[in-house]
Amino acid sequence: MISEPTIPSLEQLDATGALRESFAAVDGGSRRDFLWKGTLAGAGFLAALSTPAWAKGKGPSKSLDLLILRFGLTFEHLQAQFYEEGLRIGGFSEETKRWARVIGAHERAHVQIIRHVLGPKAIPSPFFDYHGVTEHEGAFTKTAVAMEDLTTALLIGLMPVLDSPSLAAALFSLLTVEARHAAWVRHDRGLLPVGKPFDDPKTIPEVNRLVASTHFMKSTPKTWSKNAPRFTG
Amino acid sequence: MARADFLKVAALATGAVATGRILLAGSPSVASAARRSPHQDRDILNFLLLLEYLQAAFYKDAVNRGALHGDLARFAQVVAGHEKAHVIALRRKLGSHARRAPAFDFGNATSDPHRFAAAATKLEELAVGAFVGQGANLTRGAVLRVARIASVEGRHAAWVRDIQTHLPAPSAADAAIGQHAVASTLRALGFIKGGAS
Amino acid sequence: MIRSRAATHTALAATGIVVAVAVITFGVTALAGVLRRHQPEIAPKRKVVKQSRISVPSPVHPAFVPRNHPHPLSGKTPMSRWALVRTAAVARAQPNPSAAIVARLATRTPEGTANITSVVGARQGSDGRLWVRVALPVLPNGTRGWVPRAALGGYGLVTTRLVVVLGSFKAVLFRGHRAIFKAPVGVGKASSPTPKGRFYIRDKVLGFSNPFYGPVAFGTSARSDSFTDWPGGGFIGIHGTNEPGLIPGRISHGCIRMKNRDISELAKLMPVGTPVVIR
Repeated sequence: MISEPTIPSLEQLDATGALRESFAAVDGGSRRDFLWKGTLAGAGFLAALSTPAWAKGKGPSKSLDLLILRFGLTFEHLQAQFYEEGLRIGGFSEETKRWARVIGAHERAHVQIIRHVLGPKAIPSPFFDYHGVTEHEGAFTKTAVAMEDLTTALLIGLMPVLDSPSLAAALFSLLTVEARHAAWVRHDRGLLPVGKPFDDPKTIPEVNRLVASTHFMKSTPKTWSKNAPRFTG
Repeated sequence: MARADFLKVAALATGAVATGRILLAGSPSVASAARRSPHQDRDILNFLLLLEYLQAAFYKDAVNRGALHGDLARFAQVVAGHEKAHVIALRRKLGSHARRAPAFDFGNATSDPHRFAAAATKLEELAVGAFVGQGANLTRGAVLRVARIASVEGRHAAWVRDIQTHLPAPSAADAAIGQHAVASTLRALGFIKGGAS
Repeated sequence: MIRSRAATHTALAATGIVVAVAVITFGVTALAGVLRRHQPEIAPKRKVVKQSRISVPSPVHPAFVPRNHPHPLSGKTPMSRWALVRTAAVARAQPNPSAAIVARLATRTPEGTANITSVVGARQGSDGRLWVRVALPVLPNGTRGWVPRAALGGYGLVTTRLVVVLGSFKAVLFRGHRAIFKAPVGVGKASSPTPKGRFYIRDKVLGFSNPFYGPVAFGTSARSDSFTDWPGGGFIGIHGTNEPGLIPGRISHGCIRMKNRDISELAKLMPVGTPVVIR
């Protein structure tokens, strides 16, 4: 339970080549259709995202940007709490704490700003169960690498589907930071900080499936009730 | 239209911003993005290509001189290959419109370890800022290629900073660097030989 | 790699002149001043941009910019963690599958809510797996035990802490080091005293219609030493009242009572999992 993080490496995923094919199709022009279909096919992660605008038949571009921001918010929550929890309970070495403190602060800043941008349309944080990886330094570090690589891939994958230039500009300024995080943790771990000259993209459905496979996201435990209390009074 | 939709979403969050900065409609730079075009892509890619030429030549020179050791030598070796691949990718995309590489003179910045580390950091940070600054100006046909390079430049920057025990990710978002700031940094570095292009 | 080089060469050969033109104009723009790097102090400021055919647009203003240099997480704010009991588990005296059984943990509370437990420590057990030490909602109050980490779900983190001082009939809620809520309370009579010790909030009950408990009732992990056969196990609650005139005072069967206005306020501030110190 505590020995192995469950996010597969991106290299493993890229081995299928399916992603490159997908993006070749995307470059052909039907980006929106691709994302749309892929999104509907995705499982788990997106269940956490309600998309009322779609249901009301509003313009797809609006719901697309909204979807992306909500997805981003949930993903940043996933990361922010990961670092927070690791720092709190992991009992890690000073080297690990050094990057976890800074990266955790960045992810928290990302959560705050995206939540602010979404305003009333922000969705609450899911409940996370990291299955012990925040309590084991090796697993924590390994998962941090996978998570930062995945975030980098997600942001790259989003670029061609964004409608809003200002949203693209914001995500570009996050992209290079997430890539720095990945390189930093990799270097700390003795891995090559950058293995390839080009980072590979991932689509929202791809990321969705990956995150779902970790089972890190749970519904919030139901700790409230409407039953009449039976406390001693 | 699409942008306006997004701005509507964003505009829901008005008033004081405690955690950061939100810039909304009305900015001339936002408007300029509407002019995304393949022609503009060519200018942007050539702009970025210059930085890739510079980096590729810089690391190649460092590797050829062989004066670096340990972490820095490994960094130079690996990154040299990446920057070369970036040059090739941008040139392929630009085809006949690709600019040619100028001539470079790196002095002892590719042989003195301290100067190398400092210059590499500047070059990588410059690339990060330039890519961040231009990414959103690109058409969908070009943006993916550039994004895939931008993140790698971010990784290089973090790596070379970490080697020097500088904070690899100093801020929560990387700032854009505009064309004029890039040009003045290049002037200050002085690696590009005048008239050589 | 081979393919790339071939493509590049082809492109170059075919279009040398165009490239040269583009290169010259771009070079003038981007590299203005570089030419004179040996005597920069006398280099005039030239308006070379106007001559350029290649100039790139200004960066697009981003839709949002996060706070740029956030303080690194210090990990110093007091924080407690709780965990869901995912599968029915046996709590033992040591992190060891054959150690003595201290208590059994169900997945549900008597109120039908998901059972949570307060985590006070963790270490590798004799079986090589991770075990966590938890506060147990059993008598005697204050019992702790070890359960395999795998029996628990994800952690909830809270920065709040409720302190109840029986002698002065006061409840104070802290967030971090800061007191954010204070209220007078009614506590157990001499015959049914409120137990002292370190407990946690297990659940929140609301929307029921029993004026005796007021609008909201929190369940704690503390149990009455006097009413051990009370329906539902005799758990100590923190709740409202239909007799506010009795507060403050020693008036209850062990529960902590507040005026309805106070408990409603507390319900907005205190998450489930919050540690409760009664002294």
